[in-house]
Amino acid sequence: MKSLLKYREIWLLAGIVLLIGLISTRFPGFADPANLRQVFNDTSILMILALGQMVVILTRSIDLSMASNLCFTGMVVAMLNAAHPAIPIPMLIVIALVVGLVLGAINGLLVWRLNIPSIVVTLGTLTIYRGATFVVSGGAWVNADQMSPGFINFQRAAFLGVPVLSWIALVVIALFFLVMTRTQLGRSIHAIGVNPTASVYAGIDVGRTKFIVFCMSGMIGGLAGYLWISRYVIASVEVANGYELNIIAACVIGGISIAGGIGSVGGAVLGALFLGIISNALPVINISPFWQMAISGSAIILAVVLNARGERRRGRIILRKAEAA
Amino acid sequence: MRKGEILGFYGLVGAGRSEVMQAIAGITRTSRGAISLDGQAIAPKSAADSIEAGIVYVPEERGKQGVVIGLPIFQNVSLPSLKRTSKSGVLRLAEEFSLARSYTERLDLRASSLSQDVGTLSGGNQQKVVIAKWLATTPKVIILDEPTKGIDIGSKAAVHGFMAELVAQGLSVIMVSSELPEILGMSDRVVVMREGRIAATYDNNGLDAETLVRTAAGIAS
Repeated sequence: MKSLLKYREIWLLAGIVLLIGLISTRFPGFADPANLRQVFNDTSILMILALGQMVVILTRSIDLSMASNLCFTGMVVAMLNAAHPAIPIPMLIVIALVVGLVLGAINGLLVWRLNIPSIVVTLGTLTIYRGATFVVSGGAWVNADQMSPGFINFQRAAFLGVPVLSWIALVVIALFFLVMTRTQLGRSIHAIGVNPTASVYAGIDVGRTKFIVFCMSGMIGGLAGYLWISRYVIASVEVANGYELNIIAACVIGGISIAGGIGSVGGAVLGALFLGIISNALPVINISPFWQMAISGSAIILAVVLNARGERRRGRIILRKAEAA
Repeated sequence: MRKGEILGFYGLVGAGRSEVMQAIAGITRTSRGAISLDGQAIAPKSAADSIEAGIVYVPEERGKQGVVIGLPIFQNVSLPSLKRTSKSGVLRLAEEFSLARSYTERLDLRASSLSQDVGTLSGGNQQKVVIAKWLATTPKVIILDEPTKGIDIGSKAAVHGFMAELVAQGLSVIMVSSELPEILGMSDRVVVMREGRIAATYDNNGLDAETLVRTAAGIAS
């Protein structure tokens, strides 16, 4: 299983290298380390969002409300900053995490306590959270000139030559990696995705674990809210409209099974990078945005087909072993 | 039930044996009746409560309720014991491995490595992983629901041998089975269930198959 996962990620990594190579033939500077660092930075927000989505999908659930959560939390911190520029940025980040956590906890409670399928719950909160953004802002925008310089420049500051945004992404990746491979929670998330019934018999509280993953995805949505608004320096009701689909696409391309139980941190990161490279590079080499959509769409289908084949291969191994025994 | 005995539960399919066991193991709630262990009443609200109290249930459907196919052997074995093998939520892989190694060795598991996916094992060996996983929680009472259903003769003998070993160590075993030879051959006492109730309890000396079947079916002899 582990070697198979590795196998899958290596293929994705190879695909990314090939993609970069192809783009370099048309746009020679693309493979420069400086440019690749830039691409990583540009993709940071999608990467952390994909990680938040990954833990939810692993438990056979889905969080469609992440982009709306991002929009709402982003609006809240932008308005706070506009009204009280004295609030320090780290404090605002904590506020963003808490607001996101509350929104995620609402999803989680509905899934856990009322036993409503997550796709229904988050389809509802997708609209509610975006509507709530309109309510708190009265439909008004928060523009760059209303935001404090610190608010805008925090993520752009370089630390050891790398922007803070990239560092945040690296820290989030490391945290998720540790949670998934080294904690009881990570093990439970995996187990209930693979076999919920057996997990119940083994004494794992499936509902509570689902609640926790929604809290995680909510916090990530909130964090991404601040990062997004301070990056694109505008907060409005339209921010990240429909972006939940990009997040899920990154997960699927990264080999995370929508049926739950299969997926890794590396896969989610690579899936997001793949999408990031496509959206970054294709405009530079004069490929129309419609082709971009077609390419991301094909990548999703290709990923699903490859993963399905990987699963089938596993089935055959079982039969062969059973015959031999 | 008494310490260190094998209590057989016999009955026709649908007699409610598995349901009683699931209630004892905290998977479903009891509608009536009380559960006591060592003279103390317990009311498990979840499987975790029962495991803590020392009662474990090895379910009937291995594929659906027992093994977690897709996870390696050692992670399957440690799954219900994660509280013990981890420290404030952080896993200690070395402990998990040694736990898995000691129990799978006792059960004579045939596998090339403990990191192997359980899905690659034969049915009998998967069942050994499931039993190892429950023994690793160091229970006082182990409930085996159809422990030898659908596994090969060799593994069956291994499971039976192991049950005898468990009893010798002072564990109490409840064995639910529909196989008369197994019930008669292994149990110290036999409880016969019919339509959700206990129809009779017999000591297993000179007990014959006919009595059991008659009681289970509700036909007076």
